[in-house]
Amino acid sequence: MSMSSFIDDETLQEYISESLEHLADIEQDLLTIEEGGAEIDEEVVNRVFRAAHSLKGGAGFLALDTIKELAHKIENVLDMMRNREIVPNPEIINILLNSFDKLRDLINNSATSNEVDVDEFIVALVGLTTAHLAPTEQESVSNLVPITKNNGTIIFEVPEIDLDQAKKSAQNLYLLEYDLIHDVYQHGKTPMEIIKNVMDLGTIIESLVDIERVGTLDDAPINSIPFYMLISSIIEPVVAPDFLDLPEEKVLLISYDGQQHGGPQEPEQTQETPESIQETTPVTETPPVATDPEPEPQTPELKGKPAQKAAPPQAPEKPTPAPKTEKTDSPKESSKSEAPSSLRVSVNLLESLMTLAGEMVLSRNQLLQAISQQDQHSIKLSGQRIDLVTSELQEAIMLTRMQPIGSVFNKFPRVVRDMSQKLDKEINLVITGKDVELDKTIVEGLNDPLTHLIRNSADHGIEKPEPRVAAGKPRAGKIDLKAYHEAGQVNIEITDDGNGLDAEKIADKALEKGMITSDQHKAMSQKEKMALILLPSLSTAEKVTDVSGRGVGMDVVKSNIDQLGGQIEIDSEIGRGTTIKIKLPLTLAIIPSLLVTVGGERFAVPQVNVSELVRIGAAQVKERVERVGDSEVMPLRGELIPLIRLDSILGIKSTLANPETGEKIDDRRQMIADRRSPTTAIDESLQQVPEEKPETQARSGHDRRYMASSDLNIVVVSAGSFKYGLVVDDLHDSVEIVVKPLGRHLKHLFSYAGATIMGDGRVALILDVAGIAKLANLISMAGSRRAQDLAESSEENRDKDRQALLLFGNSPEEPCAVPLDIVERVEQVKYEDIEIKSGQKVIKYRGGSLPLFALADVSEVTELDQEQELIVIVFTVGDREIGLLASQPVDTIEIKAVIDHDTLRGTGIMGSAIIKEQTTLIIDIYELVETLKPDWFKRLQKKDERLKEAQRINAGSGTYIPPEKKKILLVEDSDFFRSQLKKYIDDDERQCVQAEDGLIAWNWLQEHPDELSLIITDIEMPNMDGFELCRRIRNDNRFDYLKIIAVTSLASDEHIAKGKTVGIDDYQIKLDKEKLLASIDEHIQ
Amino acid sequence: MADSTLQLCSFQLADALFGLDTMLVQEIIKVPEITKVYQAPEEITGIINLRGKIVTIIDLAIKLDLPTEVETKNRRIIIVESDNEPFGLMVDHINDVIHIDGDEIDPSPANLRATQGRFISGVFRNEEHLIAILNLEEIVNQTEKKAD
Repeated sequence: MSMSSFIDDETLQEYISESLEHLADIEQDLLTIEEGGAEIDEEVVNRVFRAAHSLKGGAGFLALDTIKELAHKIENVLDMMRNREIVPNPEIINILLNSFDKLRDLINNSATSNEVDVDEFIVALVGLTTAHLAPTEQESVSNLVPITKNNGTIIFEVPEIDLDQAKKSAQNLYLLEYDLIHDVYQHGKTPMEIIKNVMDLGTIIESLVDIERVGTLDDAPINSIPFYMLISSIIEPVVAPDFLDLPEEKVLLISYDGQQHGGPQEPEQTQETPESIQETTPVTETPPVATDPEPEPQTPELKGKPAQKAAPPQAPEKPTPAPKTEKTDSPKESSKSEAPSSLRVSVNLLESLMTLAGEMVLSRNQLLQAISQQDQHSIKLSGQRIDLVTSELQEAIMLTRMQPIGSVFNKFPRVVRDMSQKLDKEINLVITGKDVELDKTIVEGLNDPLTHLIRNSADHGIEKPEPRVAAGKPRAGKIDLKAYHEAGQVNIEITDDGNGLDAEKIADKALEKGMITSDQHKAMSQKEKMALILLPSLSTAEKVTDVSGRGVGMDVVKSNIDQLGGQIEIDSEIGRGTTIKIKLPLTLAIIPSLLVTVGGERFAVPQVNVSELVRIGAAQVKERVERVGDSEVMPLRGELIPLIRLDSILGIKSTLANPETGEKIDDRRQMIADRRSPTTAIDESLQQVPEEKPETQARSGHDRRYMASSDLNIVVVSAGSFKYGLVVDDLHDSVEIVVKPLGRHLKHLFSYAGATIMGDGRVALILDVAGIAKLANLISMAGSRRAQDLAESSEENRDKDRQALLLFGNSPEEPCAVPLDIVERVEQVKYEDIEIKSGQKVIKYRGGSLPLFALADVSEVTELDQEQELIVIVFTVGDREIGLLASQPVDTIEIKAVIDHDTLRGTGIMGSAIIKEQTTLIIDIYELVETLKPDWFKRLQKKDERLKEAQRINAGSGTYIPPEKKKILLVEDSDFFRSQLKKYIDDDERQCVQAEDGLIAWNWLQEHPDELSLIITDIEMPNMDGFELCRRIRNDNRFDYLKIIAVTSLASDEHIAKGKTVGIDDYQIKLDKEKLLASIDEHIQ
Repeated sequence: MADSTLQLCSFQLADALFGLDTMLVQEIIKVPEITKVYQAPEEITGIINLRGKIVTIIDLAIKLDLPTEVETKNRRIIIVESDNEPFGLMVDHINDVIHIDGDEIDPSPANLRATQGRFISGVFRNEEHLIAILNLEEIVNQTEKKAD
């Protein structure tokens, strides 16, 4: 007869779920044991032992013989380990790990477990036990000792070793006989509870349900099902029956040779006469099963068991099953993906839910009452109350779904360990943030992608020890697995210090496969190239695995993470390692979202995807939005952000006129990117100025497509590793929305992630940021040559080749510009406010008077129109502040200026450049002031004296000796600055030698080691930067005599400190001519 | 026996009469504010909030390739359910519930155009009217294919 027929499902389920729980932490513990080696942590070994033991105990009852056998053999090994007879080593742990794996398999498929062949494991485990036994004891493993009952029936045959182990710890052996009907079910217990109770008291060596005794169809009604257990325990025989809750005659003390002694005689009686049982057990009622006249013997009593169990008077001792309450206190245990259908929740939480539900009902009643009484005040109050209770309720309900991520993380030490053994690598896995909690579904969904990523890191990322040592890395590789909260999200980072990803090779592969165009290929950033690995057909291609070291299944990882509403980012450096960062929402059900409207329709953009909001004023749209082919891009801090108009991508009635194409490309390259110099006063004034007067400057009729009122609202969203801007009509609040899935007809739409119901009851769609990008065919930047140009020019923003200029007018026909870096402020003034004192124009300014100059004072340019609104540009020249009178419009621009130093050269004008298609004068404010106020400059006076002196000497000697010019090496990569600085330096006494970068300078120095009087160098330069150049110079004693002045556009303290350490003598701001020249005078040799 | 009697919820689309087994009808509602879903197939009017559930609305007239009338105040939405998902069928006018005998249903005439034919499971004729009985499953399941 089959076992399953009388073991009810409930018991089996209980056993399975508990067993899986026991197994959940096993790996961790085994790995700890392995780490400890000979230093055995008894507590841990005990824990593992108990797990195996519980498995065995239950399996015995459920007749899961294979499981019992395997668990038992594992237990033997652990027992010896506990007694320090076996020293754990990787090999032993391997066997144990594999055996536990097998056990888990068997338990998951318990129905068929008895047919599974586990000999392989048994042999290995028995091998372990015997190998560590003294030769004399070895046969004890195979020697079977019969255990008999009083009447001589052999109940068990137990290997001698089991008895020996009990003997060693001086324990008593008992043969217990529980009757499942009378001793268990009628006591309102479950077999599992009995087993647990026994295990608390001792160790189960063998257990068995005596099926033979149950009888067959033809037999009389069954009234007992004996369940035998052989246990070892330290409990004294006298008290054992009490502890075990068994009648005395059913507890037999067994000697170590297997003979029973003690305990009453005539055990048959107890089994065959139900009456006697009723006498000895405190059951008050005659059990219905026992008296049932016509039971179905095949599926007998136990079927009716749940009903009996539920009968309250029959469960007097333990109204609530003890093990249950014990577990509920620790919901963290309940985290195996194998049993996702149920979830353990702490009682506290449930109670708070109950309380809140009560509150809710109460508030509802109040509300109903208030409504029926038309009591506005009370209605309002109840409304508030319900609001409060609802949010608390929501929070509490969400909490029930939260699980620590540790349940996933815990399996990785094993994964990494196994892989490092298999691959002959040394890998340390460092896990942090196990306690971080996430929604249950997310935690479960993370299992696969994380496993994949960890395996990838171990397999392809970390190198073997030898190459690592050769590359100057520690032998053992390191994988960091980290979870942490950040801005309402959970981040998971997997970092390895392996050989990294080669973005170029990935991109080449993608190009080869035709997944990107060669234009795109060129225009992509490193990060974007890296992200290509997430594309499906690329990463599944086997070849890439070899080249890139990663890849297979990365698309699966990505789609898994996408499903969880997460994002994945890859960062890698060849030879240094790879970091994969996954950003996850805490929960999927409720997400904070930004509301936007387009064409009157509302949409929600998940806040996770929103990286920033940009509003471009109508007047600036033309400058800040570039056209690339037929798509638009916006430069943002050196990055090009493709723009997608939400209305056109979704087909919402488009209000746009067809824009012109291809016109004035050069012109358009001039854009207002964020400047690096933070001159706030200017920022403010500049931002106001164009807003107020949007029409003046070169606004020709062709930009009708942006009405003056149409500011562009752009939500910069990030979809994976790349960003784009979503152009919408209006931006609204950020709200928490409940995500509802779309129906089957709409699920396939890329554009939406779901729908939500707004406060007013209407429905709004949730945008799928990645889907919209797909819809717009954006893999990354819309590719074209223009995009590439733009990308390059945008990258140049970081170089100094581009120069920020302040544009202003002298007269409308004479646009002028000065380097923005030297401008202090821009102020608006009225002509009437200008006073003339002792021939000098001044204005009251910040409690003093500010001397004013105009370009017309020195050069032949048009006089300023006095009717116009004037502005004053404030500079610091020498130690003084001066103002330059100018007119509107004021603007800033960042361009690669090609300055013509000849054509329009004049006093106070260093040259001209074509800016916005107009010839623009570049003003040299220093020259202007020097010309007008030479007496302000001590330097000039000194120089004058020196010259006069020289002339006097020359005149005296009668011969003219041209003064030998001192050579100054000027190292600067920006043409603009170089020519500017050269102009400052070159004069009758000094001559400038120019070098475009550190390397050129260094090479020049090698050839001319002793010609120089001074070096002036920029810091940030290609090929060799200023720091490196200084380091080299200072390490070469030929140049000990030389002083070095560093010039930068921005001297931070950090820079200066670093400069000092490499031997820079002085720091100067590039365009502060006075200070720079003073410094030159001071340091020149 | 009662086995073969059928209650039909009859409704109008343009000039034609259609019927749907009342057992399939969950409720009939007035047309609420509908959120349009851009990019969706043409016959999907949009989605609505039905007591916290998101319900996809199918415009039957478009689905059945009938001339759509200018929106009238008689328009109603029949809420049905298929595979545990609620749908709303937009119709021009709701008529009576009529009791018919299963025997009275004829197979749909062969001359029904192919697009319509799929969606009609049979035809009922009484003294004055011809009522086409809708095949709900076809209607809600065929929609994706029309999307392209």
